[in-house]
Amino acid sequence: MRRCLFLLPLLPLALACERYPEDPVFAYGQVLRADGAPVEGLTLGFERGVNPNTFVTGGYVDPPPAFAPYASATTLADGTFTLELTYGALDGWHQKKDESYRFRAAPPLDEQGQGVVGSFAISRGDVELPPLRAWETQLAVTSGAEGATLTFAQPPPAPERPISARVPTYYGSDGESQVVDATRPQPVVQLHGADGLAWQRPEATSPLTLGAQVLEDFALEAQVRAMGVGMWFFEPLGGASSDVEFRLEWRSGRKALAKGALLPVSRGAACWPPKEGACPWTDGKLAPVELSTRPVLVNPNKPSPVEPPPPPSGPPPTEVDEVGLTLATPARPSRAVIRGLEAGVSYPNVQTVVVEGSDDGLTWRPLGSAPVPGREGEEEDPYGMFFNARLGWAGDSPHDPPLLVEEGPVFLELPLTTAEPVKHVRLTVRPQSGTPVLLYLISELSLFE
Amino acid sequence: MTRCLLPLCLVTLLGVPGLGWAQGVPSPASEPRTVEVDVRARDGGMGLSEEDATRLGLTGTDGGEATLVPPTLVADSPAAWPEGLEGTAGEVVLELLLDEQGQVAEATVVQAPAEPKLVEAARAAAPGLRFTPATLGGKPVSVRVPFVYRFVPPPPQPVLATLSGTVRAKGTRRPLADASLFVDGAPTPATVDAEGRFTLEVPPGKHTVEVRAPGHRPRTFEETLAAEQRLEVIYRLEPGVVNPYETVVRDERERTEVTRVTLHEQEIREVPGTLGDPFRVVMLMPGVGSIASGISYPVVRGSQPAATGFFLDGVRIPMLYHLLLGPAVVAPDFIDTVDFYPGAPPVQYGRLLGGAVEGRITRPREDRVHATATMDFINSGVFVEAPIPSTGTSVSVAGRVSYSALLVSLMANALNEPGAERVRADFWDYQARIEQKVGEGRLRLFALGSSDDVGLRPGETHEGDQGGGITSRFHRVDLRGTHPLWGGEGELGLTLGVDELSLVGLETRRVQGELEALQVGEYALRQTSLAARARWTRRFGDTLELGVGGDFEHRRAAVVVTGIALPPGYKGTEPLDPIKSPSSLANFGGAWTELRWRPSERWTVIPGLRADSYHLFPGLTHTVLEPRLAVRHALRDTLTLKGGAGLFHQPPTVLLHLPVVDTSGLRYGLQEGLQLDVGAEWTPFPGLELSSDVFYNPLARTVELDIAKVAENRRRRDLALRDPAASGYSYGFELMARHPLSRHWFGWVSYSFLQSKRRVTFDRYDDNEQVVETVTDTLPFAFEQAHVFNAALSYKFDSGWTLGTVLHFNTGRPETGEVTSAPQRASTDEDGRPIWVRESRDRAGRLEPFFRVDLRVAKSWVYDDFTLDLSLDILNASIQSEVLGYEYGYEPWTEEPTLLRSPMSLPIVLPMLGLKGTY
Repeated sequence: MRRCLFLLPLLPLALACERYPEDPVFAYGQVLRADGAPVEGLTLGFERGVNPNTFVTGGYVDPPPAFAPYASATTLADGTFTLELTYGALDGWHQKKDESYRFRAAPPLDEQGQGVVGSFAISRGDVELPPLRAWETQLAVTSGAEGATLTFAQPPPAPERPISARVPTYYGSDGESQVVDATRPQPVVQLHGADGLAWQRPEATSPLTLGAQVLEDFALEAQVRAMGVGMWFFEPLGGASSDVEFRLEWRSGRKALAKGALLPVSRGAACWPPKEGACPWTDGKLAPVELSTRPVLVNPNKPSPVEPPPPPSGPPPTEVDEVGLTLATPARPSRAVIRGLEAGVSYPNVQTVVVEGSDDGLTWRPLGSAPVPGREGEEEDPYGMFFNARLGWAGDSPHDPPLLVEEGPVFLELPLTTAEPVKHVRLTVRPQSGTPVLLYLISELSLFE
Repeated sequence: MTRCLLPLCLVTLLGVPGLGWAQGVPSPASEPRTVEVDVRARDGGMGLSEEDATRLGLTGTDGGEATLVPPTLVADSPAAWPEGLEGTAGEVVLELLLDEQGQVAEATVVQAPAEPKLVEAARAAAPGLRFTPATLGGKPVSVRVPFVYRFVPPPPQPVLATLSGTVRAKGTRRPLADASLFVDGAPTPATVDAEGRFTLEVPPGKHTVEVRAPGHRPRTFEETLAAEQRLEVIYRLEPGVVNPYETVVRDERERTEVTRVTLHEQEIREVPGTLGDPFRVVMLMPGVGSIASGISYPVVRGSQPAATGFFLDGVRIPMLYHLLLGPAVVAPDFIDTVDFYPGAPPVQYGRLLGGAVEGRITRPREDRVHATATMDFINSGVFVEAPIPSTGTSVSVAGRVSYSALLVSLMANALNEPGAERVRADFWDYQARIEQKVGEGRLRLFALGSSDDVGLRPGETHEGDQGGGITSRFHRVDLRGTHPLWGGEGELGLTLGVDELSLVGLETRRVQGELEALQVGEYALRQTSLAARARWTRRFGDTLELGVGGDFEHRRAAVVVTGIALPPGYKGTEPLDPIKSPSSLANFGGAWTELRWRPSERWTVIPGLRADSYHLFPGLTHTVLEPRLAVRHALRDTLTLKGGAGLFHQPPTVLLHLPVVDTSGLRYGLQEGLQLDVGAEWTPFPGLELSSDVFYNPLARTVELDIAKVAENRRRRDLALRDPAASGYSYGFELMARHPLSRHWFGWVSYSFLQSKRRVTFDRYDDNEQVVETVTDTLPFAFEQAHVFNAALSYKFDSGWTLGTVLHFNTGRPETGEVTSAPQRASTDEDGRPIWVRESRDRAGRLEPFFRVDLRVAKSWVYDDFTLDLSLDILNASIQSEVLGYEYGYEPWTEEPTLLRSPMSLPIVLPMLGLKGTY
């Protein structure tokens, strides 16, 4: 501890370095409206939850912890607040508990339903939190026969690094270093159906046009969201060093779209691997369908648990590497809309979604393919510094479903080409070479002529 | 030359009565006529025979006998050598007839020398002789007496030599004004003047000169001088006991305080465990506790260390020791005496809640150049004092510099620890004084300053390597004039001060492709102050002395925070809170008056009044009056009873004096306390002084800020603070038996009993470390040590060896969390596992008692013009570990978590081998 080093000559005074669980820790922040006006007199609640030690790979999203109200702070005229916590509130180490905690603050949404949610893991001492300023999304929706058009404002800027903070530095194998600032938020457009997510477009630009196939025959609500993660280190001279890892998630209110009017040829088709009842990815319902059994792995970014988790019990794991459907009558599909597809990860991480057709279910010919976009956060988190906040905390918003941008479920609209009608259509995700990877989830696979 | 040996001749004559003449025997009835009778010697004088007396009718007039009172010479009449016979030897025996008036009526030659011209000369001179008339039976009579003119040739004129020089003490070169010189065994010595100088005229040849002076070993010198030679010598006498500390002889100052312990010479320089530093000795005085062994900031009567002021001739100095544990920031040679006032200090000391320690600067020595050089493991110092007699100026300079960098480097090499050489612990200090006589007064410019710098240099091979340091500096320049004024003595002083305490952060960064250690941040407390003081004292008769004075201080204090020193949450604008943002501007003003009244021989009454104003800009002013009273009554010459009371105030304090904080803390109001003290001083016999004090200090208001709390308050920003004010009291008693400095030894034994309590508000915690209750109670103060015992002894042998030891014992402070750990208690969590949870302050225990033994061994060698002292001083030679707190953790390597409370202690042992040369 640097503070102790300085006090070495003041040996007995160095006892002041000893920190006790009840010692206060302060977090400084600010709450602003979407227009930048400070929010005064707000009692901002902070909920605390225990970070889980494991997470489910392939799905990326930890189930959000059970957040419970823990502390609150009141904003001043300039919107700033000082949250008082205790050193012992940050983790369970002083009590020999293998637990770390994170805090969540969600200022009330504004009249348009706009708002911001912050999640923070505070370590060791005082920190400055990124300002909680709602995003003026200016989301507008225009619906027509050909689909819908969405317009929205530029995404919020990445939180500015405070003058007292440092950011992580990535040291490459070539000896070069690179400071890693908070990620730049990108707009993510989502279309929500009654029972699940119908569409998601990361890195969306305004205006965004969504075709009739995307809208299918669903009653949908449009929303634009954005997410930024980062980490700030504080090493104030003469004080205790500390850090905060944060995730900020902005949202717009949801706007209803005119109901879609296009029915896919695949609706109601039989499918494999066989599922009980009607095929769940051709039934027009957006609920995700589990395919392969997910392995439980230790989060590499979190401390090992004291004891390894027990092996999963129950039926042997299922391994699914393709899904398919059988059309009632052969058809010539020209477009496939894949919703909520989650597949395993391969190395090198270049994967392609492949849709093939067959007359007999034995011989397959390609109908179309497209690369899986942006896996492993290559764009937003190239050094994997913010793994936890980006993935593990994706479900922290109390308002919306988990927001995963690059590693999230894949929503693809794929042009298909076939000279002859096909009876069977299958979908795989293939790495650069080798066998297809496992598939974990799919919400809906729709084919349009 | 003629020499007359008349008295010898007369006595010889009268001792032989047969040599008298009688010119006839008259009858009583006949006419008066001259008769000549013999005189004879009798018991009790000379006289006539009974027969002659009866015949001359002289019986009955003086007891039956006629006593002759012989004549005595009253005017000499030397005979001159006849021309051409100068220096010729010869003896002329005359018989003189003296008449009743004592004049020479006739001179008859009884014996003549070979040269007749000498007889002529004698006869010519004899009538000029005058005698008292001889009396017989009380009446003047004419008598005949022999008289010798002896012509003695003058001795040949001797050719002398001159031996002059100075007698000094060996080593110190002090002139020995009381020295005596015995030349060639002469019974009567020659003496020296006040400067020890002498001039002797001696015949040529070999002489022995034995030189003696009180307190010094006699020594005999042999000198061989040629005729007319002038020899200049320095005779050095070895002192009986070597004492290199030459000080100006001082008057024992009249005691007008309730309690003052004054220490000087060896008592402030040779106490074991003090590294030869005068101020450290205070730690062994009654009424003094400690933060931790080795940290020599006294806890006086249970107050915060910052409540005790340290002064140097009236100028308050902010810090005393380098690196807290190291040597003093003022050269010991500049300190003449140290006065320690454990309670109720005189009215001149203001803005203090506790005691006062005043170091009195030595008066400049105007006789010759003096110099001292010291050297030990970590630093070297020098002190030079030079008078300029032609202008009445005296210049003294002193300085000290550490060479710990070298030491660290050597150790790093020895330990082969890479990076260890990047550690640094450097310090230096300086003092300079110019004193000038101006008319009847004196003008003095005194400057002193100190710098400490400890830290770690960042590595130079990796970008991002961090280092830093803490720097503490102060400078004071004091101009003081004293001059007789209105029948008394006036003093005017002006002090300029600069204080700085800063943390500096360094980091290795790449600049134009090269790695360089750059300063990347700073947290600094900076303060400048300008102070003025005035004082006037005057005696009115034998019973009254009046003193009035005042002081004013203007302080500008600022906090500078840059770069990585900026704390989380810093936005560039800080709340306008003096503690949280302690840039501040303040004025302190005080005025005092004191009357020393001696209504009778045995009573001394000293009433005083002090008024102080504390002003913090903008618009916060505290004004207070502080009446004080001290009374002393000498029951007997050896027994004095004493008592005193006073009201005291001080701005809020933190542990130690920190620049800025005591200024900005004014927002929390003043501290206020009353000090009541009664005691007795008894000297049962010379060489033993006993004193006792009983005190009670009710503290109406205290604002004793915990250093960690000050930092926390800054972090707390807009959140409410708990009022740091408290109240309390302390009481106790102190005993001291002291053998004051004598020829060979000094020593003392002191014992203090102390209770210091504060009424404070504190929290209670549940097993989840949550505050469940906030209560107010009276608890032991963080610095309360109930029992403190000290014994110090130093003995100087004639051989030049000095041995000394100190024994110290104290009971432990309470475990409050302030400069110690915070108390914890064992509990269990919801899973039944043992955990430590915070204990409330009222249930806290105490640290363990501590004792230590300090040793000092020194040897002095006296050379002609300088002395050399080698000393080994060891603080805590007993290698005892003082428990400063507890660590609350778990037993290692156990399957089940088991609680472990282990003491945090370190044997602070400070051994110092030092060499000192005094010229």
